[in-house]
Parts: sequence; C-alpha cells; structure tokens
Amino acid sequence: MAWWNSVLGTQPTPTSKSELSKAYSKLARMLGSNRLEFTHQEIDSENAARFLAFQGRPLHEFGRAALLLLALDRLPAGEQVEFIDELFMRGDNREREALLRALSILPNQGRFLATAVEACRANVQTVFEAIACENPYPSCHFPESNFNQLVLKAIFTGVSLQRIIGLSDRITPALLGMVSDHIKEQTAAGRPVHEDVALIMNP
Amino acid sequence: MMLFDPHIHMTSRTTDDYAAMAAAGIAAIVEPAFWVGQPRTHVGTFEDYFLSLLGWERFRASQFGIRHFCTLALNPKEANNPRVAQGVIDLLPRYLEKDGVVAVGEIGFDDQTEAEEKYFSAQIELAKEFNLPVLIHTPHRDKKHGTERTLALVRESGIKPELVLIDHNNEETLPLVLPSGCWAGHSIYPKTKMDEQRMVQLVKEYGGERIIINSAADWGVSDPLKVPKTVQAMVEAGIPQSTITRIAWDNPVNFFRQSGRLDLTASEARPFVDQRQLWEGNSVLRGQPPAVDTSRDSYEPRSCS
Repeated sequence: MAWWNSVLGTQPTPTSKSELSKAYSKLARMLGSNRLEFTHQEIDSENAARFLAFQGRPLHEFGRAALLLLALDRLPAGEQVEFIDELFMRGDNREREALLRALSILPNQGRFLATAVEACRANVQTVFEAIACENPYPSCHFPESNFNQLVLKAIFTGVSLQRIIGLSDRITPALLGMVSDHIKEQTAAGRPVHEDVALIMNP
Repeated sequence: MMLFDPHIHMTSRTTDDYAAMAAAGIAAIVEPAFWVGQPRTHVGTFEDYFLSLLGWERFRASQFGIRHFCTLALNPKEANNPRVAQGVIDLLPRYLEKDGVVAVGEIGFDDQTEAEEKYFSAQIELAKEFNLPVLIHTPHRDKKHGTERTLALVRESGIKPELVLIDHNNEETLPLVLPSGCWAGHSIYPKTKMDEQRMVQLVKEYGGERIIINSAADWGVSDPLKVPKTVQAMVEAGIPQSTITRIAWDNPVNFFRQSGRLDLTASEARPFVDQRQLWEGNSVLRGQPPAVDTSRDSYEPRSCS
C-alpha cells in the first residue's frame, strides 16, 4: 500500500501527465484482481448508478477510476479532455476498459463523448463491452445515431441487450427501422436472429 | 501436455495458425517486438505496433484460447536507423510499464555496429530500471563472434544472467551460452537456424536446464507448429518426459515469470473461449460457427435493471 499512498495519499503525488499515465499502467499489478462485490445496501444507495459499472469487476479497475478522478483534480481544465483521450488511445485493453467504465463517474462527463464513441469502434470485444454494457454513459450522452450504432453492434456481436443500461428509454423510430432491417437481412440469409431484439421490437 | 512458444510473431500469422497452434497444445506465447521486414520511417509506427501487441493481438490470441504476452524494444536492425532509434528508446518507459510486457526484447546485435551496441546497452539499463528480463537476438552472420560480444556486454552490464535469454543458438554457440548462466533459446526453423533432429541431439548432450525452444515464426518461411513438432521428435527419440516438459513449458514460464507479470494461473487454466460473443461485425470470425468451450461456466450477463 505504500505505493498506493504515494500515488493517491498525502505524499508528493504525480501531477505530470507522463507520471500519471505510468501510474495508471502500474496500478493493476499493485492492486490485484480481486472482484468487487457491492452489498445490496450499497447498490440501493443513491450513488449506486455511478458505481454499478464496477460491480463484479477487478479491484484494479476501481483503483484506476480513483486515479482518473485524482488526475482530473490536478490537471488544468483545458488539458483534461485530451488527457483522457490520450490515455485511452495509448492504453492496453484492460486500461481502456477501466477508463470506459469510469467515464460515468467523472465530472462533466459529457465532454468525453468523442472518446466513448471511438471506443465503440473497437475490434476488441471486451473494450466494446466496457462502454456498451453495464455502463450508463451511452444512454446518458450518446446522440441518437451513435447510440443506435452501439445497439446494432451489440446485436451483431451477440451481446445480451439486457446489458445496455437505459435501452428502453432510447428506442426511436430510427432504431426500430434499423433493427427491423437487420431481422429481415438475417432471415433472408437463413441465419438466426438475436433473441434479445424482442426487447426493442416488443418492449 | 501444455506447450509454450516463447518467441513467435503472431502479427504476421493467420487465424488458421492460431487454430492449429491451439489444437496442438500451445497454451501460451510470447511475441517479441521485431523488425517488420522493411525499415520504418516514423517513431509513431513503432508506437502503434507496440499498442497492437498489447491490444488487438492479445485479444486475437485469446479467441483461440491462447494466452498472449509480449516483449518490447528497439530491434537490433533498426538501432542503425537514426530516423527512429532514439525516438523509440524515448517511447519505451511508458510502454514497459504495461501489464502484458514480460521482458525487454528483442535487443542485441545484427550487423554488430557501434549504434547496435549503444542501444543494446541502453536497453539492458531500461530492463534493470523496470525489473524486467531481457530477450537477446543473436546475429545470423558472424554468429559465434556476435554471441561472444553479446556475453561480454551482458557481463559488463551487471544484469543477472538468470534474467537473460539469449536466442537463436546452434551447436557452436550453446557451449558458450550455458556456462554464462544465461538461458539459451533455440529457434526451430524449416530450413535455417535449428531443426528438430539437431535439437534432439543438443538435448541429449546438454539436458534441459535453461534450454528453451521456440518457432520464431514470422512473415517468412517458418512454421508456428515447430514447438509441438520438436516435442514429438524428442518423444520419439526417447528423451524423458520430465525433460520435455521442462523445456516446452517450465523453462519459459520460469524465465518470463521473473517479470512478475506472467499471469500463471490464467496461463495454466486456459482462458475461457466463447466465440459466440464474436459473430460477424468486427470479429476475426467471418460467419463460421463459433467455437464454445463448454467445459467452463458461461458468462453470466448482469441485469441492468
């Protein structure tokens, strides 16, 4: 824990972007991968929505989220969006996943939209799921076209649509049309249709 | 038995290779950063290469149940390229901190120039700073002399020999490397470097201590199944099973475990394979039936309600 204190505690802590970035990489090895399990009481509390994305996730993801909060506290306001985007682009898979899960607990989170939308283009499924699943960010902040693309990609990659937070509030005629076309395409090709499309077509 | 290929450039290989490797028992691999076949003209292309080794390639391997780790470095050949050399060295500290990096490498000599020696030493210092082992390439030309220079440089650097893996050995260099206390890698190739039968003879002569085998498969004529094929040759030659297991699993595991980043439990228990999650779209699957590992519990998606 000495190392953790030197990063987050009262000791002189890294304030330069390069030191914060290196600390962000190192954190997982220092904190380990024990799973976070919030109690029912914690989940029912008013802050629950902010932390739901970390339920069942490794401790290091939560630690990385704490480091991001610290970094935003220390960096000049004008550098914060670029810092977060740069950390995402230069991250390994787990670093990217942790950052995406943390987006919804960051202050003024709407400003990180471009990073979140870029994450939906990831080929690495675990990175896509980190933004798409158990994460309130897309339904809160994505414009319609980006949200619809996220839902379509979830269908294409076989992700349970029950994992998309706020989906029922974002069903629009455009999304219904896209999903309807997808069902026709699959049927024409003789391929199975994702069973969760019913959540959109017959909510 | 589970096999480890500790030197293979999967970026240059196909999904068919991954499937064949998994079927042949390869459960873990290390992909060293290397020369991509032609000189790079920007430092930024190295950075994106490092990121692909830490990101996409790692995920691609996991889809076939193979644990992927990497080593990062400025390779010997491009140490001679002043357009990129120092810039890549400056990049390394940030990337050597990443979890999937289990050594600094490949470093070493190619043409045996002054520039190569300078960056070889500088990267051993980086390895010491980051508490990482080093993977050292030995040259194709003037190999014996290059290996002697390598061993001298390693000695002068003060790095512990147990943190050093010297690769691409043959009958001439192995007797130099083993007494140094360094680990000795052997790249089993279809035509050049080392072949299965010669490797069997080396194991008969020297045993299994600090002996490592790899395919070093890349974009050239090479074979990603050379580790299982060499294991088969050792079995047929009557090499004891304990020696074979030591060479094809325990030695690379024990060498790279010194990084503190080889996630062994996950390596030993194969990662969960469920390609149902990876249909069309951006997956490496293109409409073929997804493979599902039914021996493990499936993911349990949590409700968002």
